[in-house]
Amino acid sequence: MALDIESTIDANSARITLSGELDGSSAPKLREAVDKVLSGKPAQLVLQVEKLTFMASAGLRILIFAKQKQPNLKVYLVKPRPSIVDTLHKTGFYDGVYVTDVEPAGA
Amino acid sequence: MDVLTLPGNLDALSPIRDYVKAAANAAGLDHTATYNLLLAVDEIATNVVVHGYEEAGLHGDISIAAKNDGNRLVIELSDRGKSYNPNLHKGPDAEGLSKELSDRPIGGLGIMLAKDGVDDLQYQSTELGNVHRFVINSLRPAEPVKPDPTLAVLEDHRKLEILLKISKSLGLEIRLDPLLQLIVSEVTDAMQAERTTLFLVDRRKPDQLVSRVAEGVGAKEIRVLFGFGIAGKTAQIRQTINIPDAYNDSRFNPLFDKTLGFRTRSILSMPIIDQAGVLIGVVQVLNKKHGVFTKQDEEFLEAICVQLDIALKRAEMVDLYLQSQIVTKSLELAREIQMGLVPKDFPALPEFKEVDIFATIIPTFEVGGDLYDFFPLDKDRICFIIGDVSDKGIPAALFMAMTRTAFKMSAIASPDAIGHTMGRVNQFLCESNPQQMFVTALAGILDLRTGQVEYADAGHEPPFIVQRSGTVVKVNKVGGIVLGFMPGQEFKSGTMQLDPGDTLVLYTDGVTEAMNVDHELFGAEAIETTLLRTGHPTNSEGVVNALLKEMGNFVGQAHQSDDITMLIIQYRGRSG
Repeated sequence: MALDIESTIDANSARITLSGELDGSSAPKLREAVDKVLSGKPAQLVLQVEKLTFMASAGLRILIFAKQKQPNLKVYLVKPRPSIVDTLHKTGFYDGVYVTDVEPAGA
Repeated sequence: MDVLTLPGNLDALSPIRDYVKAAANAAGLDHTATYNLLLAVDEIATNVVVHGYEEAGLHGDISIAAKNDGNRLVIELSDRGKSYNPNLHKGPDAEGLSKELSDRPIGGLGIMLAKDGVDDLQYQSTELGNVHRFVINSLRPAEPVKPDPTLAVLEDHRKLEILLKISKSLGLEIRLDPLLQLIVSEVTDAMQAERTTLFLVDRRKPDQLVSRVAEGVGAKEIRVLFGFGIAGKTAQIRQTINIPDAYNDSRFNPLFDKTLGFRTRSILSMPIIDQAGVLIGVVQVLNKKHGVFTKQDEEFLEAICVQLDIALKRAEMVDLYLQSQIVTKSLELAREIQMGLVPKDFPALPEFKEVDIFATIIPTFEVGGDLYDFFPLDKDRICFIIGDVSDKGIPAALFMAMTRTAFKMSAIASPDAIGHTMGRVNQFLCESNPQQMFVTALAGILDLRTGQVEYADAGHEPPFIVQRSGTVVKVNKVGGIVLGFMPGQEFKSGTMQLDPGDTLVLYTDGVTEAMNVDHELFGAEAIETTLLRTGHPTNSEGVVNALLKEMGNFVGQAHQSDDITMLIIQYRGRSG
């Protein structure tokens, strides 16, 4: 299943909604989208992942990519599925992002 | 599963995951184990494509196969790219995992996730290529999904509501046939099935089941002997039979399906046994709409069967009562018809001033076998008969009607000697008498001009004559055998003389054999005594009333044991 990406940007917040499967083949597309939304130097990156059913390590690498590009960036993962939260725990990524069930307001 | 081979690029990842998902489902892995296996294979497949082929500048296929021996699931991922042993890769250490994301090295995470996702990750590299084996040990059938207690409560609630509904609607229907229809449709609904057949034990043949209604296929009657077919087996062993797949069960007879144009899949067949332990019938529910009938379904149907037993019992009682009501009504009609056969309007024959005739007939049951009749043959002669069929109730009533009609037609058609008329009636009755019944009778023709009576006797009680003086004379019988007994029998004619004021008293043995509580008979002597005491009666009706009163005193509280009939003819002579 392919990955669908929808991005919106406002003054402080970049939002990307993901649905489908994030793997090695779809990761480059997301990387491009993240690169694009971060060009405006938003304070936060909000990833809507409620409909993301699979995330390989390629997805984790994009999180690293985003933090490396903008170290003070706050990354939110909104409504991740339990299996993805599990992956975040195993890899220690859980502490580096904000996992939330409520979409944060623009900072 | 068949080997799946794909070109070794990133587009292969999605179909590979689909393949693994199917294999995991087939092996009964739960959601988490499936996801972890999926992630493991995906990570390695990504490495194979990226590092083994693309970065090495190589091209080739990637194949995946699944092997499941029931104990463990092995996914084999094969490629011909650059060798890349995940087990030699260190992966990130504890220090690396705790680093800030921005400080993390990219890479190594995938292999970590791959190793973490399976019980064993094996790697083998030969000249033929590389093989990764992902091993999941100790396969267990998927944990049965624990029923959600909330759902269980809801389900119990639904069943309780259905039971109440069934109990209510069955309670409203007291007629048997509509009740059977109602049961069938309610049970089909409640059990979420396609069809229900209700068999009842045949009352007349208690080793047979009969189905009066079969929903959906019209009102065909199905008969089943105990021990045959699923229903018959259920009745025989008096135990529930639950068959998930009828066509794989030797007890199932597909003939019914062929006859009824139906395809049976699952069957739940249950005996209906009443409180006293008597088998009432069998209820058979066919084709559960989703899945097969469970233990819960059996318990539910059992609860419904209790309601069925009660409703069926009550409806059968109502049915029997209604049937008896119908019989009673029919008997009342028969009585009316029978009484219409004998003249009941008194004073009778008002145009014949020479006679005063009165008669009464009191059957033991609604209808009886006694008869009397009188009718003019011409302006000078009146013909009469009194008779008693050798039985009581409906058979006697039918024979009585035949006798009366045969006599009247015969007498009117050829008004010759009364003995000849009796002979013709005897012949007719002998020819149509399968029940070997017979009639005693005494018939005569009174000549109104002379008072002379020509009579014939067929084994009947001898009549009395109360003379004008008050003297009582017992008529000497001419003798003759009963009617309907011996074909070709001849009957003699005798004569007796009535003088003006004389009264002829004819009766059946219901009068002489009237019994009191001590089983003593009223007897012919009592008739004679009564007639003597009464003396010369002013009219015929007075004779009947006097005899009935005397009989009543004698009999007391005892039940009437035979039909009682009296025919009284008072001859007054021809004036002028």
